Amino acid sequence: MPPAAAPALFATLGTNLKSEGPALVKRIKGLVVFDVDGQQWTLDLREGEGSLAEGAPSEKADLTLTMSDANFAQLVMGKLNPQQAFLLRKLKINGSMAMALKLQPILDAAAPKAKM
Amino acid sequence: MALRTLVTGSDMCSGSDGAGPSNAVGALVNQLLGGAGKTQEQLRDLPMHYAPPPLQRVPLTPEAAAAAAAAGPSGMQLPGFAHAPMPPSALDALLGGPPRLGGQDAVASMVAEFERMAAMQPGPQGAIGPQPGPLPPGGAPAVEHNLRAFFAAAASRTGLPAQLAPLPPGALSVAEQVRIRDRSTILARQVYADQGQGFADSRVAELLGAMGVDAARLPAGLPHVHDESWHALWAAQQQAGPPQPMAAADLAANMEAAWREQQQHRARPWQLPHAPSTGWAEEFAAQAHLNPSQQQQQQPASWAEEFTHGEGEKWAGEFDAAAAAATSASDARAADPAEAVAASRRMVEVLSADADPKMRNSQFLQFLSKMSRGELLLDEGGLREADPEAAAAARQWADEFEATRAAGGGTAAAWADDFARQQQAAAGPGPQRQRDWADEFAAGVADFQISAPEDPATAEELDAAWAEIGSGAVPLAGAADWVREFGGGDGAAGPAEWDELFERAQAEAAAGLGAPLRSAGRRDYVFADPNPFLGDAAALAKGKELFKRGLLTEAALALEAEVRANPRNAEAWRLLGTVHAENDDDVQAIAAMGKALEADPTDPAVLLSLGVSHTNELDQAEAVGYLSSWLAAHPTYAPAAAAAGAPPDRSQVLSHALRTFTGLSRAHASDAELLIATGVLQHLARDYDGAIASFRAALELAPGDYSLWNKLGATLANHSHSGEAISAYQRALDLKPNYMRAWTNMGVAYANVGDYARSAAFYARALGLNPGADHVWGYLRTSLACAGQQELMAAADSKDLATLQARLPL
Repeated sequence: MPPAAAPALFATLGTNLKSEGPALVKRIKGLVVFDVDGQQWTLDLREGEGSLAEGAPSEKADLTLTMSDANFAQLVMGKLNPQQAFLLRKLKINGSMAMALKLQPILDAAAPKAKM
Repeated sequence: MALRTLVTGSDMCSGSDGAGPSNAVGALVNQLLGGAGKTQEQLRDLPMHYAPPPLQRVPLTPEAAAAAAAAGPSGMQLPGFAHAPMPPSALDALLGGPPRLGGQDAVASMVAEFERMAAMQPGPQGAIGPQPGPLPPGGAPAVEHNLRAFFAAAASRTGLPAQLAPLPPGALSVAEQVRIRDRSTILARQVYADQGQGFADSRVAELLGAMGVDAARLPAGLPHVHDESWHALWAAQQQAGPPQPMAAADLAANMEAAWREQQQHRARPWQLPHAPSTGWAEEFAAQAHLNPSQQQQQQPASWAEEFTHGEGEKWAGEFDAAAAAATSASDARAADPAEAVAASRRMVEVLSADADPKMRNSQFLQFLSKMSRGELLLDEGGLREADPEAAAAARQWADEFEATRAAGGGTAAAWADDFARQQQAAAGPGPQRQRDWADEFAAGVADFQISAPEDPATAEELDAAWAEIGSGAVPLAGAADWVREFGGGDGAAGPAEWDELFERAQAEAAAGLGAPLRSAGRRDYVFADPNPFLGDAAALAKGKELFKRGLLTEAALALEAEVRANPRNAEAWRLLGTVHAENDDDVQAIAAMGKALEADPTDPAVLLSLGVSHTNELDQAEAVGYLSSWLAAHPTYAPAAAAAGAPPDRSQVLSHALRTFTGLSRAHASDAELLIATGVLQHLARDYDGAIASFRAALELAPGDYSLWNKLGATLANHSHSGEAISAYQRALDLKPNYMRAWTNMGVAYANVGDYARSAAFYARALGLNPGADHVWGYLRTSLACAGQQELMAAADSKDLATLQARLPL
């Protein structure tokens, strides 16, 4: 089944890159791939304000995060913290562990924002 | 570097599924010091912790395991090795029963097991011992002939010695000899199972003797043969991808063929006094219980190879075993610091040759290279850092030694290679670092220019500091570093690249100031089809009526019908934009407002609304542009806006506009519109406190503006005051019950305070007003997932609002 919550959250993340992208790029400096229930999103935080695209990356990812849709939703909403998720094997990390430790700001940027 | 991060941090190099929280440094220290595997223990205590795989791959039967355990470390009796063999009867007594009769099943399982063994790639045992190289030409056929002849003779039960072809001495390497001995022993013991181990061993000794193998001189296990050719072979295999079947496998396959052949000649089923896999288990036991001191010495080196092999999981398992061995054999511990330094140096060599940059930069490698340089010393108490002078001396000494060796031996070429590789490595990250540095510098300058005029005290301080530096009172240590970093190692390409960067930035700035609005990301208005209002002459009036009654989705349809008939109707476009904004669709709102602006370029309501929508979409440049246009088009404030002039450069657009707006709103504190525009701008600049103050002041003047209450609520929520935001949204909903955006914002606020069930209820209500809001469906599923209401997920997937609203009451 395709992920249900993730597309909306990634759309929010894509919008928020406009304001938070440069800070995230400065912090992460890498290519992060999210694999949510088999569907992939590529977050390129290597330069500028970063960019988010649906689908697999064309280059080698520095960090790949694999999880279910429900767990992704809980991570984004802060109900589950990344370290906990990793230890409970709800989140699989492939690649730079150091980068994975800086995950929280990315997740925060994907949370729904109030609009005026 | 804090030692703590090394010990508590991740090793960054464990298994590829990322699930093995093994701490390489902790395990290494445990291994070297013989301390308790504390970290490992703690990790093991965690729920659902990944359990290291057991050391062996072939499943042992309980009997075999018991037999191996009973036999202990000396369980492997080999020809030429004087172990006290345990008589089969004693073993049977231990197992608590008479000799068991193995039927066809047992034989079949034995064959299967042998096949598995033959097909097995070098596993954990293979990692401790070396991989035997290919057989020398001419050696393999002779060996195969001997083995076939030997086992054929065994199967025929004639008792006559087989016709064995003698092999020239030195035809087989030590590793091959050991392997032949081990495999033949296993096979022979099974073939001669009814005549006892002693008989089988003596026959194997004959076989080995005929092949020129001196069993007495062979080691019990395979010592680590760590020569150059071996390294080359390993590297070649690494590059070739999956490990190729090796000569050992061929040999084993031949033996298996011999085994099958004699199986066919066999007349009667065998009696198996022992469990089928005993021999195999014994071999395993012998490998696992190698002489502890020997294992101790070969461990670091074999680690290094496994490391390059990248088999983290297997590694973790081995680590545990090795740590256990080290603890039990603490007296045999290699505490000699020189040895530790040498071992870690070897590891560093192997690791740094790895192509993976992550490996090269890992803390583990840094730790090891520190050890190899003598900066970290190993003594009885544990690790300690050497004092820098001693470390420097040690390093110098080591360098001198290397230099001498390079001059004397033929390793100059290898040295040159190393150097070239380093050069390449330096060339790779160089420009990147430089660019980052340039970016940071540019950002720093921009920040400084913005902030300096706002804070006179700081500006004065900076001026003073600058003067001090100019007079030479303060040594410019930082600047020196800068110069070094910029010039060092990056070659002559640096300044040129800098110039280019500067020119590009200049060009961008020039282009940017000329065209303040990017068109990227803007979208044309998308009409809904089918539309029942199409062709209705009274569509505009109906649209206004529907909007007033709060039926936003229907109002949008009526207004769309109107603008399709009259594309220049600014009022209809503006209303349509407002409807979309209230329906939480800023993209459509922006498109509609853009059309309204085409019809009437100075409509203040449209300009302000565009400023708000672009702020929501975080399009900073557009938002500032429209809000500035709003100010410039305003009859009262136009002169002030003109007086403020254009911003000095692109990076200051927002701060310049913010200064103009806040200055004006202080002078005109009774204009709610100005306060709102100021608040939006402050929200955009993330001055949430300022924005909240502006909106509250505006609400004093216009308490009935529901969208203003929503703006206040959204600002509070984005400022982490979701609790207060909820009451502001409630005011908005009291004034306009069908304000879909406020319902959605309520959902966001409740999710932010952790009340996910209530959040889902608000999202469901919002979707009742606008079922086309896809992002809200996503938010609803997010809240359902957080609330643990998976049972409603199906209803959300089928967009069954009736069920959702019934199950999620407000």
